[in-house]
Amino acid sequence: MTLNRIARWLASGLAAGAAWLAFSAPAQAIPLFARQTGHNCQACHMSFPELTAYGREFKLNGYTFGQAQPIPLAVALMAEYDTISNNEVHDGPGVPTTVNCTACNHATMIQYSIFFGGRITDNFGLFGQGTGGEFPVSSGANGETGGTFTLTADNTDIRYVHRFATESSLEPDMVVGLDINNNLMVEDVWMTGPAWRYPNGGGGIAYSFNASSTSTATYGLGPVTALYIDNTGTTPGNGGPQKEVGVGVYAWWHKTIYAELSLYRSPWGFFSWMAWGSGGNQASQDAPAGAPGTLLANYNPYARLVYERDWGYHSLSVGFFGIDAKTYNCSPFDQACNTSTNTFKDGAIDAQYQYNKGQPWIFSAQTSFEHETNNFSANATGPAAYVLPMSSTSHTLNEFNINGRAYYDRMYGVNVGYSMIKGSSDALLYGANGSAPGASNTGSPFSTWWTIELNYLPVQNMRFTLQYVAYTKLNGGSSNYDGLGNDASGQNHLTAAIWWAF
Amino acid sequence: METKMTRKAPRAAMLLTGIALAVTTTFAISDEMDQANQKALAAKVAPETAHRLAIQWCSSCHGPGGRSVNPIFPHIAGLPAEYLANQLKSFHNLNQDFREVTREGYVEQWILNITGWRKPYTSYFHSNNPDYKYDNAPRNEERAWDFMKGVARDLDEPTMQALADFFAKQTPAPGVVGAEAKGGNIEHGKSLYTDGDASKGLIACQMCHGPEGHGQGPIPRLAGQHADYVLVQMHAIQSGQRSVEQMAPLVANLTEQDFKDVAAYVQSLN
Repeated sequence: MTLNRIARWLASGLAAGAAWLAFSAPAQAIPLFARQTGHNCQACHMSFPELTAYGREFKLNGYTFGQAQPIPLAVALMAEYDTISNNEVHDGPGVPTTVNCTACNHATMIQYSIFFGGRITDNFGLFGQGTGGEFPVSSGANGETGGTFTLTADNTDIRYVHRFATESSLEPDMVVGLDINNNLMVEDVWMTGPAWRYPNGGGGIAYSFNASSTSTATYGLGPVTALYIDNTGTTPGNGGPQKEVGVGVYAWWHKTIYAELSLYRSPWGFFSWMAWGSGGNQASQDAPAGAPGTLLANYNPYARLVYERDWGYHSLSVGFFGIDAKTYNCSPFDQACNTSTNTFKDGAIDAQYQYNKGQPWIFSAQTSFEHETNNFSANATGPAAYVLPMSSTSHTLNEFNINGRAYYDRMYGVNVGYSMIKGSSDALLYGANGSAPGASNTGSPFSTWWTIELNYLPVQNMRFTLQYVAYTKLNGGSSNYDGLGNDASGQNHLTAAIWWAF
Repeated sequence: METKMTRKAPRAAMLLTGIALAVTTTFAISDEMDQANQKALAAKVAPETAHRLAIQWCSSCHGPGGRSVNPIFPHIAGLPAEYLANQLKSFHNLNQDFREVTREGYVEQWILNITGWRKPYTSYFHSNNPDYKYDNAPRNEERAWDFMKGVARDLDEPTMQALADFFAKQTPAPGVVGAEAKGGNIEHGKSLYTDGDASKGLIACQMCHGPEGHGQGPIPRLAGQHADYVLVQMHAIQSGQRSVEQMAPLVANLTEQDFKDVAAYVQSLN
């Protein structure tokens, strides 16, 4: 992937976008829901994707407000450039690695999404997204590989709603909905769950940057583990987005109490269309030998409860979410697989506050505390190809997130976030016995980091982002945390991103 | 050689033409009938449609029965139906021609269209406008653009009227003291409202808005309205962002404090 190609692609995208914008309806040169409702972005969003109270109403009512569009599509283009401050990774204690790779301290990503859906009827609507892109990873001297521009399923959320109201009701007494989605908590409307919370919405993902050809070390690594509900794909049997399908029912009572019960399962068989293009069938769920599969076993209950209170310009919500999940250690379609399961019991409490005066300042903050108890006995014992070394089969993990933001004129924004993961130690699972760069020398997953982000929106449908992630502690230590001489701060990285939707 | 086919051809052609004519005419007539029927149907279902929209959509911002929580959205309960209908129509018209309402130039409008540009807080386009008394005047019309332009875009006249009638019948929001417009002096606000201020060219607000602030006809009810919302509107009227011919000269010389005082006073009325 050369700069030329990126430039050409961006240029053609910009030209196409400009043509679309020029010919579209006034001030509606903005994505699908905006065209459907005629609203500007800030009616529903504090800053994409965070929802205002009205935005929450729109989503919980099944995306049905407004008028269905003849061409219910929108497009988003994203480009991102990541750079790590320290491009030296140590291969051994006190031994600095000489890096002769000039392209190794950065990575680029370019991505496009097509959104589809919106209102179908007064009771039925959906949010659909397909994404394709290149996620080049520096490897070797200047080589960049990876990714495909083929469109594959991204967050999709389909709803059927019924509003309970009597003759004398002045608002729906209760909105009840049936929901199908393909990402844990993507159906949620408060930005505290892992699917939407900062900084995911702002872009900036820690990439793996490979060191030079003279070193096998990789850096750009973050915490060695995450909770199941974080859905990052880092824990045994945690597939990540679009590797699961949720089917559920929710009730939203008088804009005050929200209750949801969903069942999550693997996206194969009848539901494989929810993971189209991304390999949601059983074959792809079967990870290469030596790594456990990512299949959810049967139906796994997820529950959510939220209390919201709005007054004046303020909105406060507090809630709970949790999941009781079991994953196979390998594909049940593999003859050699013994189909025993790992278990994850996750529970979390969360809160969100928003101050939405519209202009010129708006503020918001989110926080959550998640707790997990897991058991990986399925991957401790076999079959041989899927055995994962671990010192203990049971672990506990706790994760705390808090973040806040201020936006001026919906144009200039600053976000600050703090995250912490802590849990029981496991020298083999988290430590690899001190032989892998980025793993924990002490077997501890304890990591703390800050994410600071500046945003500029010159027009409402375009956002420039500058994000810095600073690790104060990684995997049990701040200096030489992996026993090979790498420091947590060596993984700090800066991301510059553009997001444009039309 | 003449065949049976060619002898039949003219008749076939005539038959086809006849059918085509009949079909076209039927469509034309039925299209007209359709439009007339649709209009009649719209008028008939408007109250039903309006009720459904009011419960399902309008209440999302304006609150149940039109009594809102967030002052960004005004109370609309108990406002005169004529005023509400006029407002909806004016929002509806924003979709076609903003120029009339916001007095901006065609070039600025074109730029707004193609770039999705929102008028910034201290807009370049306004800084040289002599009507723009306060550089930091809030962009009221921005809210109309953000929310109501879209809502009103797809409403037809009977529905807009039915919505106005519905909310006019709702129980108005009660008077509240001190919740908003911090620093507003209710006593001074009352004096401005009931007696006006000749030195500033302000006639008493009650002359049009009524002694109790209930309004009538095309003049809105102010009693119980969010003081913060009233404040924003007064700025918008003064700066010309919101075009109210009768009001603009009256509030031309009022200060920020005057606005706060009046806003606090009217919110206290029942």
